[in-house]
Amino acid sequence: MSVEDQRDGQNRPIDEVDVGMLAALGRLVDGADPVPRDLVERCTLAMSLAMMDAELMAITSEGTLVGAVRSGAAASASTVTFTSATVSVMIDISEVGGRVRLDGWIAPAADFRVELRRADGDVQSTGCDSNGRFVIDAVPHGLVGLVLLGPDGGAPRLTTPVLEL
Amino acid sequence: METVVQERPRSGDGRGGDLAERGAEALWSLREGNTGALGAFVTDVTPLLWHTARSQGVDASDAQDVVQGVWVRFVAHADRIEDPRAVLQWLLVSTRRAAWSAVRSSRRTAPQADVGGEEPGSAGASRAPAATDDPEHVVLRDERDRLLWDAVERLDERCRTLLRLVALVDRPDYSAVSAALGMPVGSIGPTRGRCLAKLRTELESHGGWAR
Repeated sequence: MSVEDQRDGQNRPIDEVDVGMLAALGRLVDGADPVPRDLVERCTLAMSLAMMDAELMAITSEGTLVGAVRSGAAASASTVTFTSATVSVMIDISEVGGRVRLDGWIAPAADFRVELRRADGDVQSTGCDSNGRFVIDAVPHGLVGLVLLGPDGGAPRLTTPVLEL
Repeated sequence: METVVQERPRSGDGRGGDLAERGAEALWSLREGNTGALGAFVTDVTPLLWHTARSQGVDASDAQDVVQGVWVRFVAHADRIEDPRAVLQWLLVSTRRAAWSAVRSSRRTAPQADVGGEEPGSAGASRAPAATDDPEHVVLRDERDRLLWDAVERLDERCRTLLRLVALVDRPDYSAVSAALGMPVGSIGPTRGRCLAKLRTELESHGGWAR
């Protein structure tokens, strides 16, 4: 131990004063710039979508008011389109009685299974008709991701980015 | 039916151990395709990633994308992270890099962008002030808060970065966070380490902090 170490006390064990200082500093750092409320949920959902071994579609157009990808405006009625190399999905988002209704249209039409996933693992799923249309109704507001699965849950597998409804 | 991966340590339930051990647990869970054990780890580490991104001068909405993108890459790279005990370090380093490139690309699009070759966040680089550097945003409840905040501000940048991150975790995780920042010299816990010792010296020379 050098003289300087002894003077600074850097080789001494941490004591309660140190712990108290760090706790107070932690409170100041967090208070200065709090972690956004839904960031953990957003990350958890994005991770579970990424684990589906699916191709991530890109948002190619957004109507007004869609709070897609980012927090911000909650949609009351809007349209968003996602595309991959082979498939595009257009979704009308509307609010009915405090819940959200999604009217979707997949092109080219094929026998897709559509899942709406939330960070807590909840899944609402439906099929689409021969025109590639599907409806998911009575969805609570919050962060969701859409997953498209081929027949029997197989390929092609596609996901959207995290959306805020 | 559960497939047992040979190398996985037996003891872990995803809850015990410090952040380094829990990071290793999270990695094993991912490799097994099981997200159950990830939740608590993501909850505890996200604040560290958020403040790491913000300390590089990334604005709030880009910082959310940076943090989310790092977690997604963690999923995609799970098979390529060689040392399971280095998961926390991988996450922090990835966040810092992603934050640098976010700052660079927002400079490119900003009208009065600074043209500087240095990495944002490095000493001397011209950069947007980090949110936590702005005293307006800090809620200082009393004189003790003021003393503490000012003393941290007077430390060198490495110590400031280390202490602000270590402060976000509980005592059992001090060492894991120090180690993940690659700071053996400044590292905190079980001993006080250089940075915490300097902070105490700073506070004592300004009248002391402890009651």
